[in-house]
Amino acid sequence: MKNGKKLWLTAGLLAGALAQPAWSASDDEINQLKQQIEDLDQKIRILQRQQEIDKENAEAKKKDTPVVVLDKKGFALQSGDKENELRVNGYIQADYRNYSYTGSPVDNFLIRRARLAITGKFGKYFTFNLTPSWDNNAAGLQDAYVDAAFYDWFKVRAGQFKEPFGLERLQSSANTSFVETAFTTGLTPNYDDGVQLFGIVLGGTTDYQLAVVNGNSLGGGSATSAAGTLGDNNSSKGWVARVFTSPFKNGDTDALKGLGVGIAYENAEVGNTTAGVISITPATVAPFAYLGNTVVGSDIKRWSPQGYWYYGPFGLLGEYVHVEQDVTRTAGALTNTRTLESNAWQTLFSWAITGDDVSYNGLKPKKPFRIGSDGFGAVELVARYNVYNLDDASFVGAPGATTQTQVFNTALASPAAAVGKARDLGIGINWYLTGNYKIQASYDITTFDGGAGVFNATTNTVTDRATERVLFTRFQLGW
Amino acid sequence: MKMFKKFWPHAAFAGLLLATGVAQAADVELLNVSYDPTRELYQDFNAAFAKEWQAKTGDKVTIKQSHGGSGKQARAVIDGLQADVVTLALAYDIDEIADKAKLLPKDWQTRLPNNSAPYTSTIVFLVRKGNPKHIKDWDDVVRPGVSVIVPNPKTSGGARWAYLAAYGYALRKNGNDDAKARDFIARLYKNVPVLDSGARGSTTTFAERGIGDVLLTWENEAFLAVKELGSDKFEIVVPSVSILAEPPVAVVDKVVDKRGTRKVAEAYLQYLYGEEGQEIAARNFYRPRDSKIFAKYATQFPKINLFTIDDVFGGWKKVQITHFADGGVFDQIYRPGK
Repeated sequence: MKNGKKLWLTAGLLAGALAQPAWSASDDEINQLKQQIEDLDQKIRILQRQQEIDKENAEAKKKDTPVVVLDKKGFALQSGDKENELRVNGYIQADYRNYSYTGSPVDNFLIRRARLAITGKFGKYFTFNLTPSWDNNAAGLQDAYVDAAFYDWFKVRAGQFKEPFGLERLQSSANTSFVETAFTTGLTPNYDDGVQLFGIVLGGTTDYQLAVVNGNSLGGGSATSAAGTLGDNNSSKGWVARVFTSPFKNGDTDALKGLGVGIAYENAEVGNTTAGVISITPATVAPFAYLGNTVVGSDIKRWSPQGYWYYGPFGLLGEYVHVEQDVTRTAGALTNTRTLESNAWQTLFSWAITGDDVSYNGLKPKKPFRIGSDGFGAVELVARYNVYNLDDASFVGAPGATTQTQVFNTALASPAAAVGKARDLGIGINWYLTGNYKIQASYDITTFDGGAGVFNATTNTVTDRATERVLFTRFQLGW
Repeated sequence: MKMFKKFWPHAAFAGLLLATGVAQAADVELLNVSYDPTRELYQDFNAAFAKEWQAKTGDKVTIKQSHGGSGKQARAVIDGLQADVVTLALAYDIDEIADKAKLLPKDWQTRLPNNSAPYTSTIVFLVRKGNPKHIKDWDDVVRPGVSVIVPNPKTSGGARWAYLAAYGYALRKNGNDDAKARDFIARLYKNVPVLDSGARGSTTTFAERGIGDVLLTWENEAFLAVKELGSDKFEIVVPSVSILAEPPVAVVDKVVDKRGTRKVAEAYLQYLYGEEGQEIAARNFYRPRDSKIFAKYATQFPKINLFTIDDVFGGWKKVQITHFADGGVFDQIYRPGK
């Protein structure tokens, strides 16, 4: 009995203990705690919202704040919304040429090109390019044009620009594989003033250009043509059309993505001139000249199939240029008018032996040169062969010329001063230390057929012009 | 052949120019730079106007909208934003565009009826359902412990109307004692934890972020919040007195003349005064000027004792200089975080 009572008492005490909470809080305290939690919650929300507002304000301010960029791509000033931009790029080419043949120019250092490209865009559609130059220490103007790009397939350019014709000519001078360009480029038009319609079509694979220009850009190796200037001397205008396609660009075969082919045609209207479309050798010497009082007719036609293929470290570029021009020479009662056809072609091969990717737009080394690291830059070997054919009819006298004097006085060119053919073989090595700096060295051997050499009075013949052997070196910095 | 050779480059050039013209769209596009809470209004209005314009003229008109605090929007237009029309919260902001950028004449307000304000509004309180802090009038929003959400009067038109509504109440209550009114407004802004740049931002802060006990906002914005976010979450409290807000509209002359859009821009604003425009305004909780339309929607709008800015303050120019310019009353009384 005693044990039962004890048991009930224990159970009762236990039940009582379980019924009581371990700690008792008043309603006031609970309400205070609730209020504190609510206040804290509000404070956190306020902080978060303030952060959101600050971020919105910073984003809005960003749109109004111009951005200054200075990097390896040059200097740029951009509006906060990136709708407007002003960019300054440029390059300097410091060359040395060594000539080792009789009658050569003197060996010399020269500033081959020094150019500052000021480009910009204003709004969605409009861009411009203004490029003054100090090539060979002479001030000049290269590009000076405005573009309106309404659609990828429809853009309009007006001003001074490279005529859309030659493949090597259209390459930036900072990106060419050799220090001096091939014969083909000497036959293609250079800068001219006009208006151009252009765009990219067919899924981004094909470029087209159609330009109306003064038509007075004869060609040659510099911004002003070898024998002419950019001034226009007649009211007729020339036109030029070009299409270039990379049909496999979007395909699955990597080896074919870098294949591009195209064709260009120009009908220039140079006005009657004593100049003419004449190419130059890598030593920048014109191996051909018309005789005195020769007039080149205003209507010059040129066409050029062209193409390239780039795949990894390998590149191949080829083009052919054909020129037709009417040339006239009159002596007394005899007039010699002929449609002369000259042409040139080149094949250029490049191989980046360091495994970097070559392209039409230059080479950016995967591992730039840096002392103390394994970066050496990129090394590219290049080789080319190019040929320039002058029309043999240049050396023929007027119909009806019967005496040697008559032939001499009416022939359009003389073998004493003009070659019939020139061939150039060049090899070179380019070291791209970084994407901005490269060193080039190339060696060109140019041989000539058909005159412009030494006249032998005894045999009454002209030996071929002396073979040109030129070593070119270049230090180039571009940004 | 010779003639052709001579002239074909000109023809080609003309063809290029023509193609350039063709490439630009023939359809008309207008930019309406507006204040913050009018998004829904102009969404409805623009659709109606575009339909009307196409039926009337056969032309397609697309209206692009830009929204933000009224003062901020005015500055954007002054800085070059190409607005064909401005539909802002207060006349002063459009006056600034006329004065500083000379984009429209100084007498712009006389060109359309009712001082170029096709609808009106006022300032009311939006509180949480059940009104837990028992906010009934202006005196309640300055009580310690009441958290008030209102935008920044430096950027928001609605905020300026709210400030003036509170200030006007305090002047009336205290016999035009400016010092007491200033103290009143200082106590109000002491209760403001966050300043958004525009009315819509404040609505977001209050209604979506759950901050604050009361939102001082446009009447139309309050109605919209209740409609969209739920009458089970919020309720509107109408103060004893408030200010008659007259948001004006104007064609920006220099822009429309440059863009050739004057005709359609003028028609666009005039459509706001027409029957359809007034209906759309009323459906979006703006008080229409048209008495017939207002009568149709009368039960929607609470009766409220309204004063005008001219009655109490002598006009916007005076208000701006005294209260909202740099160093003005607002700058003197508002210290963030204190």
